[in-house]
Amino acid sequence: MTILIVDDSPVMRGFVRRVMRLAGFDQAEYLEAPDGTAGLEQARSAAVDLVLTDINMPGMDGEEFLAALRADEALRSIPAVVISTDATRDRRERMTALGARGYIAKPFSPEALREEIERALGGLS
Amino acid sequence: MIAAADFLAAARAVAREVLEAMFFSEAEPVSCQHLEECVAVRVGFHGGEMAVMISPQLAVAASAAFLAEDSDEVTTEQREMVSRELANILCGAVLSRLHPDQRVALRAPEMAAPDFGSGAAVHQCFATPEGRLAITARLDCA
Repeated sequence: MTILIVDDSPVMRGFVRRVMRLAGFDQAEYLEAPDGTAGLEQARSAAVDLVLTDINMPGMDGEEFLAALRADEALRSIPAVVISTDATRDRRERMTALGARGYIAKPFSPEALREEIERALGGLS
Repeated sequence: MIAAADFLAAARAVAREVLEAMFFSEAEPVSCQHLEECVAVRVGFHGGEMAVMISPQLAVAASAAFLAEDSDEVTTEQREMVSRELANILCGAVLSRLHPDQRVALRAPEMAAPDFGSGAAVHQCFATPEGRLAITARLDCA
């Protein structure tokens, strides 16, 4: 399994990778990108099985990134889960409308992250 | 517009959750003391600005916990990046709690002078086993 983490904070990308391993995804290969543009390049050049993305990023932000993923026929089926400090209903609904299969607000525990990702991978919402 | 009392109540609840879930520490609200030496981060948002002051010991310990590294190995750059992330998470969580139906619009966290938060109308200190943390806010028209 290949998991792409898109976040402008390198320490946050490292934290998410570590929590994912603790949550049971310890056999996965992890790719990282600091913004949506780099995330798209990664997704196009590797067989990505899951995307975890922040929203507020310089350059292409999480909303634009999700929209671009969904607009690309080769990438639109990749499950995406949003990880954000923004826990508001409006933002959740917007990201869901853009195709996010899961949404987790910071702070989060490894258990909460695992449950959200399992839901996303299982196609439940 | 955010009322100071509402902001403080949200900050007290959120600080505990954030420190426990993502920095593996415990935060208890305490009466305020001036942090003479601290790592300070400011985060602007629509409606005001929040600052987080972190004692040096807590900044190192929180960074080590967040990065899963030994305290001795935490660099100044890492400490500042983790402190910015902590302030970003705290601010986003407070605003999400106060206005669950509005989007959170945060500016990028910036390092600030240690005395940045002094004199702010909204001020809450927290004690953790590793050191102190203070949250201050300037709220528009509060």
